[in-house]
Amino acid sequence: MQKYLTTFQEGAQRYAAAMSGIPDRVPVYAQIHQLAFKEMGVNARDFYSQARLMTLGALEIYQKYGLDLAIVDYDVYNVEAEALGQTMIWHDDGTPDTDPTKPLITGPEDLPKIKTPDFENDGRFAMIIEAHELYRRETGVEPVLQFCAPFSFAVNIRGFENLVMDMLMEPDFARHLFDRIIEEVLAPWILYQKKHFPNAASVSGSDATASVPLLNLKMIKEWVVPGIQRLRELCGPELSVPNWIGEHILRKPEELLDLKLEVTGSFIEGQDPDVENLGPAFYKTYAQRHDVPLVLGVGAEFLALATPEAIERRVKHYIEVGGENGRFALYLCNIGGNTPVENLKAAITAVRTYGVYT
Amino acid sequence: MSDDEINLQEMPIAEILELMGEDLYDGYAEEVVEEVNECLSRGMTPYDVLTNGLVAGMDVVGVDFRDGILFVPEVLMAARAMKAGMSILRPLLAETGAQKVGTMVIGTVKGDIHDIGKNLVSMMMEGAGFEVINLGINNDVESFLGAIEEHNPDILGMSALLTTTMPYMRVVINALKEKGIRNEIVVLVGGAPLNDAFAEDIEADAYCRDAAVAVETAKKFMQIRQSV
Ligand code: B1M
Repeated sequence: MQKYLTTFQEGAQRYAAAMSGIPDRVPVYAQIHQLAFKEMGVNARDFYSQARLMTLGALEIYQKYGLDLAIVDYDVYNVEAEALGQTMIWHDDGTPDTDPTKPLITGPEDLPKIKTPDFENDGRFAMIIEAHELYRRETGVEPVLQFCAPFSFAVNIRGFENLVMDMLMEPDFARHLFDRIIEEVLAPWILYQKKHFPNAASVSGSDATASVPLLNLKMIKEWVVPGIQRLRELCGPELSVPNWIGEHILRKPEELLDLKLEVTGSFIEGQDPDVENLGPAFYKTYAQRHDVPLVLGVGAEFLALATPEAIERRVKHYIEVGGENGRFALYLCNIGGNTPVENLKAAITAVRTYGVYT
Repeated sequence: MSDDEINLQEMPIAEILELMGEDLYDGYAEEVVEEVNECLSRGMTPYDVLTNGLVAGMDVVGVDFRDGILFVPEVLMAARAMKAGMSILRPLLAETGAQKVGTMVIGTVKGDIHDIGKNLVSMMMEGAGFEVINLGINNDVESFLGAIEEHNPDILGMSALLTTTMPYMRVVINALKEKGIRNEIVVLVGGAPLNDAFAEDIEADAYCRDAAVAVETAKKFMQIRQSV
């Protein structure tokens, strides 16, 4: 039985319409894995390692709260690093993490540890494939394929401070590290996923650690962008990495947006606290000038800590400015386990109230 | 940068200290070491080299990071230069029995692995002359209490980047109260989702918006502690 067929096919159509023009209403989507295991009352260790729990549980939540788009929502930063042997921290009530204090790569002698995994047997790769198959069966929608982008992956196995110092002081070693990550692990993993889902329309990378001020623009330009572009060459132009933040810290915020555009190609995304600081009009103008659709993200912290009234006001504001003449979607950055459900409901009600195109 | 033309021996000491600050800011570790050695060879006390050279330079780094002029990589380079200078001064400071500015135990709370900001705070605190015991990530009450018992710090710093983990700071503070040691230690908290109201609510002594504020606040509390 395809329980979620109508909901998510409609949602996917709404999103496609919003990216190219004016849909019936602004589409809204969210990261909800932490809310999902909490509402389901299951242990996080089981949730993140069992395809059925992860997929069906999340679909239930997406549908319950009326989100338009569903994805297979998992701890996307960890899967590749974990499979290589990176030490992990698992929690009963939280998302698993790589342990930044015990990096897998302690020096050039460890580079051979970065080798193409056996996707059928190593780590959780097979479970991720199974989860996407379940998702496609239940929703009738092609899944968005995901991966951890090269810089964030490198941080996970080398440690942030170590990696940045390598890039500055030992650039040859850092280059080898990135090359191996891209050629030996990420490209094969993405291509393996594409083999299973040849009709998947988009492949999305997560790269929070390549944000400002964690890196400066020069390093993003010289180290981060080329790695993603290489992946696009190897895996296809539908691959994008949209989630760096930090432009509001810069004197010329558009310089980071220009780089974002180089690695998404087809849309621009801004999230709080950047949107909160720069205002949605800044992003709308940029998107219109570059003739691309816009995604604005309402901040995770705000969603967790603000009142439902404040959330309604912010959603209304982002929609009124960002959604003018279509080509716009709203993203609720992360619904943490302690985000009051009233806040999530307030955001979605606001989208349904103010996001309708007449 | 100290270019090849610069002859440290011919420079007045005030200019060497200024240069040390600039080289530290630019992350030139070798130059900082040369300048530290030159100052010491002229009879400056290790404590004066630390405060008037390295700490002064690191102060500017903190302010420029807060103001969006420097980014994390530049701060890491400056911290590396600071460390190089400190490797010469530390044994001398210990020998001369120079008074420490203060001691801080800092860690990211249970359930949270975000450590980049907390590590920056550690570096800047060291840059300001504090002894810092960095407990790393995912620290439970026992870990904080154990470190407090072992190191008897003046300050406990806690970091949380997740709205789901920030409430754990209250758990730690309550444990300090239960052990009857809450008033013996200054508790400073930081991390993007926190604010002053939260710090007040959990009965921390202060919320620190960024690393520069953490240093300023820690110094302020140390002055109060030393004056009572
Ligand atoms: C005295 O004591 C003191 C004093 C001052 C102190 C202090 C202690 N600690 C900090 N300060 C202060 O001084 C520092 C220096 O000036 C400052 O430190 P900051 O840490 O604020 O600033 C740093 C210099 C730069 N900032 C950072 O380093 C954090 C940047 C963002 C993008 C971020 C990163 C990089 C990461 N993440 Co995470 N991550 C985000 C962050 C977005 C954001 N807006 O913050 C945030 C915090 N993450 C989030 C999430 C949800 C997650 N993350 C996760 C993982 C990761 C990475 C591994 C990818 C990486 C961490 C790498 C690492 N080793 O730290 C997962 C959870 C991991 C866990 N259990 O902790 C995961 C669950 C993954 C996910 N998205 O599903 C969100 C939290 C939402 C919420 N509801 O709370 C988030 C806001 C991103 C978002 N847009 O949704 C001050 O706050």
